[in-house]
Amino acid sequence: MLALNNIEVVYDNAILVLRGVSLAAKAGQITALLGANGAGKTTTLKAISGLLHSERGEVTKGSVEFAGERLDRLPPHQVVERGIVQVFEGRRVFANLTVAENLTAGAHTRRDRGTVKDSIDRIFEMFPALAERHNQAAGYLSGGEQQMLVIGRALMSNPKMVLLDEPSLGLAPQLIEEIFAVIRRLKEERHLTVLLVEQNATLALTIADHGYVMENGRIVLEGPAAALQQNSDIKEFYLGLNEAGARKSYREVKHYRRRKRWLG
Amino acid sequence: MAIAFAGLAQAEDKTILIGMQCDRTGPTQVVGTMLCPGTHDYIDLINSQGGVDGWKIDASEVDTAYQVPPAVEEYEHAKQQGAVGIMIYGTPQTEALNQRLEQDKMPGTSPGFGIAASGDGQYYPYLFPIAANYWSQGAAAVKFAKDQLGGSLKGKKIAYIFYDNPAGHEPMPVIEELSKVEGFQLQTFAVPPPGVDVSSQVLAIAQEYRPDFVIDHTFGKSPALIIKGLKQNGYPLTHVVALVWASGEADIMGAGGWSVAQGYNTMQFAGAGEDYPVIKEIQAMYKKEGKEPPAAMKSTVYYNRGVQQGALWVAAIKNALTLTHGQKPTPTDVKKGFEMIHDFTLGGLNAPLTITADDHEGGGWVKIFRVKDEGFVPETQWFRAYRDLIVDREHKTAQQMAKAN
Amino acid sequence: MFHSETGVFKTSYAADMALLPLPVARWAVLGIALFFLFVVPLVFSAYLLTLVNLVLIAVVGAIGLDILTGYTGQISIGHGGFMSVGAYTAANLIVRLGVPFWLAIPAGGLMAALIGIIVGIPSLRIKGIYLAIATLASQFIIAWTINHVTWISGGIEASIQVPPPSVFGWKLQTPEQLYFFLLFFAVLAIVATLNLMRSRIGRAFIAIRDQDIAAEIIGINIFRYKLYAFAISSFYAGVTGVLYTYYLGIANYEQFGIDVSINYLAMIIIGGLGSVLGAVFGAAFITILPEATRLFLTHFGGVLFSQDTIRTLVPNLTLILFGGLIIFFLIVEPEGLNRLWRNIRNYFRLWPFSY
Repeated sequence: MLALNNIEVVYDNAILVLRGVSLAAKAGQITALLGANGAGKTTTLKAISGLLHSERGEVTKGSVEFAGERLDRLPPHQVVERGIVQVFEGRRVFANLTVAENLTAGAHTRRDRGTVKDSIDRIFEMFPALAERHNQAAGYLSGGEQQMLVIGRALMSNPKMVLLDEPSLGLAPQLIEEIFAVIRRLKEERHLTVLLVEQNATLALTIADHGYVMENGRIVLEGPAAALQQNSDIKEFYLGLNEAGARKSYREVKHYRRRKRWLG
Repeated sequence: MAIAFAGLAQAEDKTILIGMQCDRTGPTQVVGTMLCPGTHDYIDLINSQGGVDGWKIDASEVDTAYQVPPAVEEYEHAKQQGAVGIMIYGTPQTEALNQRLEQDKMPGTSPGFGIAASGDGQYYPYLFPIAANYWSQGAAAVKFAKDQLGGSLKGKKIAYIFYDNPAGHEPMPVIEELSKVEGFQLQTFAVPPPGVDVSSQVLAIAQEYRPDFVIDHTFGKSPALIIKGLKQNGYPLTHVVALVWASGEADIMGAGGWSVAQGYNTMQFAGAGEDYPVIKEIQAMYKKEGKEPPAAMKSTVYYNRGVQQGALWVAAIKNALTLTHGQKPTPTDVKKGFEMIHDFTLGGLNAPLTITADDHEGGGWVKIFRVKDEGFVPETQWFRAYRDLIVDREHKTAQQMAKAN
Repeated sequence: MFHSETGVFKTSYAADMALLPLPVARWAVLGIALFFLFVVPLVFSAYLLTLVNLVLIAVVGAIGLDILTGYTGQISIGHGGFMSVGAYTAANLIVRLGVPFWLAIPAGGLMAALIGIIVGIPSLRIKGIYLAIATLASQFIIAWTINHVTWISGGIEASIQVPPPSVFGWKLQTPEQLYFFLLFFAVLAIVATLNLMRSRIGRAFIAIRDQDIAAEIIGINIFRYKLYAFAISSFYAGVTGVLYTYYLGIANYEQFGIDVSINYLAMIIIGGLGSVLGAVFGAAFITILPEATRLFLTHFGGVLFSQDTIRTLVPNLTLILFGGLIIFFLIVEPEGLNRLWRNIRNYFRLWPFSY
């Protein structure tokens, strides 16, 4: 459904951030994009959603295609009209609008304004915590509720695909589970396509169908989620476990060599 | 409550109220802080001598900071308190109040600024410029240059340096017209607001254009900088004449003092210096009260203009009281009082001012004072120039205005 | 304006969407309306009405600036310029073509909106203080243009005299007549803005202010909506300029200097950014305060000072007191008068059983 073909992203005409990134997200599946801080995950999402333009970034090579259409020259609001919506990291709610107004704002691009109320009701059904606070300013919600709200707000545009950026960041484990359960439900009930960016690889791989691993602006590993979960390198670098399942000492040279091979 | 207060105070005694606007805090405070005390001192002097036929005069001052909305507020306030007229301060304020004056039949004065065409009393019945307007000033400057350059301007070069706002533009058409009449070459140099940098204009005048005479019509900090700049570039200040708002002591001091400005020609509509009977009387009044005269008095140019403004109001009220046989005059009476002012010299501080129903400018008289040693020395007598041309222009402009409305 | 009370339940979306959801609010608005329609014009003196009239004009301009700065988060120090655009557009139409006020006012607004859009273009790339400088520059460019193009300014004096507006052949001249004229436009501005802010456009404005990236990401065309905000805001500014012109009987660009732009910013900051009621409070506060301090000092300063001293002191003390009070109010309630009013109201709602 979504395909990135060998894209290269440059900021300020000078800083090369992504080099030759290719990935594909299949319709109705959850695709996980894993990697450490600064690996280029968020930049990849911005290249898809068009946000690069407002940050002086540019896709200089390759193409982003969605349902057979080039996206990489479109401004963000047109990308949303095509059916892709990004949920930004850091829970960016409109603090001074109420919960209900935040959701209504999410339906900004929709032409069928009559059915917006029904969509809001469905979001409330999915996140009962939000329903209780529908008339409260979003700035006063808790972190978990804000994360639910931004996901709900993204869904209000009736997207075909959602780009989720670090939904687990800074949340309590229980809340993370709740949110991941919702993501899984969205896939199962609505057949939503999801591209999930996470640092929490264990969790991401439990709900994902397919996974990619990024390092230093390129894809270094790819495979079905189940296979990645078993991959010894992944276990070691992201899950922090060695082959025996015990904590690994960083002094071991083998680790360094293997990592070097990856990055080379 | 405050208003009730004022109303009470008014009913108690025989007082005639004049609304007085002033700028002591805004962009033209340099003038306001010197001019307004002059007006108050003159009125205090009259009151200390028993008032005008037993009537005390109260000039109720408010600070407008040279803004229009406060000027309108204060005008309405003064009107409500029963003022017989209003001393306006500033050109935009004059223009904003003009219609109201006419509507309320309330006389207002705008000495040396305001609407040039309002010298025409037929079309501006309630507005009294009571001093040479910018057109008269421009014409007088040309006349002065002509006399200084040996009686002819044919083939001469004159530079007009002006503050780039409407007031700065105003004399320009007159000077342009005169350049055709007198056959001189004219080049204009604009000083953009806020006028704190005039170096390029001064260089262009002194080094490139090298005119035979310079007419300076700037405000605020610019005049001082122009004096200093021309002096540094070796341009003779005796060939510079400043219009009335570039002619104060503050401008001389700003340029570096009297020694720097030797020879600089200043145009005045009220005499400069302290050597007038009325100023002596005010000094005596302070002495009698055991107080020092105010510092503003040292700035004779603006202070004396303030005294002149006060004196003209008192004269108008005095005339009005003859019309009402001692009864409290109405604003219209005071308007008529102004139009009865005849040959009013205030012991030499004034030109022989005559205001009529047709001529609210009072003749358009000015006098040039030259900087010499530590003060101003008269260079000319009271004079006016190209009067027909100016009056004709006033009529035409006033008629156009009347048609437009 | 009036917030929910417990015990009031809404049973339909229509009730939920009403501008004034509470019965209390409807009574309050009725009371305020009666006060402004009957009490003010009948009881206030001409002088007080003059003050109220200036407040009403300021209300329109302050709400306009609040749409841009308070609601959309785009700062402007150029609103004085937009006001003069409106003023000269209307004055030229009125004097040259004899256009009636109901055409001159929107025409002035539209021309200002057009210029506002042009000034707003840099807002795509620059924010905050940088945008402030760009708008400041526009103010100088507008002033320069009016000063130098006599076709616009109507002559060297750069002021155009305008006859009073006439309604059904009645010339509106006295403060009372102008009061109703201005009240109409102030109320129109208030109601229009309250409704605008509940609409799709208003939500987009607030979204851009709160989180511009998130707004972009949910599909709001940021550039277009920023330009909408500039256009609407400068439309209000243009209308303010025309109202001033009618009120003073003259269009003169020197009345709309940088100090005016800053005064309007002060109004919305002191009133509380992003609130219509705050803009109204701020407009009233900034317009009345200098006058109130001046009256206070002239009448009670006599206790401490001689008449001579008062004359020199009052103007300066007024400035100091004015500045001091602004700082005082901002320390007491950084979110402005609107917040102060809400706090007071909330206190009395629970009184005497607070907490």
